[in-house]
Order: sequence, then C-alpha cells, then structure tokens
Amino acid sequence: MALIKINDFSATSVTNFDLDNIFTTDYDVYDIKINSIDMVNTTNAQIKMQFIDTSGSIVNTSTYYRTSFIFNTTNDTWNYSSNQSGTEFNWWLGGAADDTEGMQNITIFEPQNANVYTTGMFNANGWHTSGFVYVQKGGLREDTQQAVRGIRLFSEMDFNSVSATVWGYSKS
Amino acid sequence: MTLGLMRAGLLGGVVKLDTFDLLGSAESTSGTDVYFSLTGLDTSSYSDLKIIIDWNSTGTGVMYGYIRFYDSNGVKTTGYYSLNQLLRSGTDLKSRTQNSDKSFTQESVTYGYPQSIMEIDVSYANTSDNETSWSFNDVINGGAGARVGGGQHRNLDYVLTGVDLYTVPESDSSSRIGAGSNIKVYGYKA
Repeated sequence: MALIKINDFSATSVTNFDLDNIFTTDYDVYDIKINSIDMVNTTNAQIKMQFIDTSGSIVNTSTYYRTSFIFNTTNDTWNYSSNQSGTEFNWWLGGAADDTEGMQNITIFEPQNANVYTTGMFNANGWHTSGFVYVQKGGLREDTQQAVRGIRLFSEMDFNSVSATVWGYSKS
Repeated sequence: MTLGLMRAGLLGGVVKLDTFDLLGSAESTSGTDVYFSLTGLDTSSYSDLKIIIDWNSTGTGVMYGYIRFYDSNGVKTTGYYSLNQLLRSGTDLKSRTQNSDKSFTQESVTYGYPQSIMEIDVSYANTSDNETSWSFNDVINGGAGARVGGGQHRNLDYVLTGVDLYTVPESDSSSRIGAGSNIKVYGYKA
C-alpha cells in the first residue's frame, strides 16, 4: 500500500476550481488536500463540491448527502449538522480574516464504480467571525450510482488563489 | 531529512512517484523526561504532514500532554493555539474549546497505562499563505478514552520545523514520559 500523487492543481481569480480527470480505475480511494486557499472576501463562507461525470459534465441534479459533527462554539459544546437535500456537498470553510481558511482534507471512495454510490469523508476547520475555530468532520454520499472522473470546488465567493494535490491509494 | 519511502513505480503504464515520506523521528529513552522534541524538520516541500505520537508514562499518576510546534526560525511557538475537541474518557463525554492557551491538546491524559496514540494531520505546514491548521484523533488513557478535534495556530503563519510533546504530571505525581515514547512526522510532497 502506498500513496501515489496523481496531480497538482492551482488557480487564481476563479469562481470554480475544477480537479478534473483525477479518478481512474487505477485506484479506489483518493485523498484530496487543499495546499493553500484564499477567498476574495473575509466573511464566513462555505466550501462546496460537485462531481464531474465521465463526459465532463458537472453533476448538479443529484442529491448530495452530507452528515457531520461540528464543533463550532466558544462554550464547550458540539453539534450535529446535516444536509440531505443539496445539489452539492457543503461545509464551512471559514475565512473570517486573511489566511484563516482552514484545513480541507477530503477522502473519496470508489468514484469510478458505476454500481455503487460515491462516498467520502472530510476534515475541515476555519476561523469564524465570532472568534473561535470551528472543526467539522463528516461523511458524504452522492445519491446516484454512476462513475465520476473529477470534482468541482466553489463557494459563495470567488477564489483569489487556491491549490490542491490529489493522491491515490495503491491497490497493492 | 527524507528517509527511505520515496520510490518510483510502474502503475497503469505510467511512471509515478510515491512521495509520502518520513521526514524525521525522535524517541524519548530516559524514562524521566517531561518533554521531548523533534526539530530541524525540512518541511519546505511538503504541504501536509501526518504526525504520529506514540507515548506512555511511567508510574500511575495523572499526566496531561500537549503539543507545540516550531516555526520557520526554529523557535517554539507559544501563542494562540485554537482548538475544538470532543473527548470521551471513562464515562465522561465532553467537549472543550480553547482559544488562547499557549498550547493545545492539554487534556491528553494518561494514568500510567501504556499507551496513548495521537495522530495529527497538518495542513499548510510549508506556507505562510494560510495559518497552520490541523485535525487530530487521539487514543488516551490506555484505550479507555478517545478524542477527536482540530484547530489552527491563530495569528501566526509559518513553515513548521518541529514538534514537541510536553507533559504536566499532577503535583503529587512522579510519573514521567516512558522510555520508547516517540514522535514520527511524515510529509505529503506538494
């Protein structure tokens, strides 16, 4: 078992950050790691994600399920958060001040298998305008059994700059 | 320092590099330490890190453990770690928010049982563009407890060059870090 780098991606001044042609039959499991990220505004924002199907079209008609724990207060409590009716995955990105958009680590399972739902997990955090770091960990499922070849990341606002690396877990 | 795990392979007809590398490790051998360090890491080519801390304590007293990072100048960072975590220990389930302490993970308790294992995924380790950000999973108290959480180092962007494990034995405890406790840091080459 080894982690194999599949590709590096970077972009500036974009609305959508596409990581296309990253999923192949060579791997079943992928790690997507954001290496740097800067949004145009310093207000709280979400990161959103959709799949790119095998013809290169954005999958925006499906139902994206996201369920997560979120640690998002200053008073020692945690919450459950879910979105079971989205046309994209979404979770908090933060970004309440420069450079505070936090970790965005995403693991995707079997995106090239047309006979299963593509699922995933994510670890994310960021700085909130109310003065705390929130932490969100959860699971993802896209409710159509289809093969997909990439992802699109976007938000309520544009990216000033963003970079990411995609890794595959070797099958042997 | 990059050890041994880089290699080339033929996969699917395309030569690709395995670039998940062990950057360094440190071990506490005396059995009397209250902290130990792994410094001098060259993380410049690695955007993400995985830190594995496998430690145990001598004696049976309560010990609290926490982590500190070293910045790009090799200076220990002491300001403004922020975290949120959920901790299960014994029958207690509690969360903790920490915004201004000099460290994080201060509730990493052991009761003399080997061992505690902490896995920390670090993002933005080699860039000043984003504040260093992490997610952690922790098995504590010899497996009787567990914790998940994450956080950021606020107001300080830096290239991470080291990590310390500190412990604070309770005042009436003679417990110390056990021999063989170790830190390993792996890097994802960007």
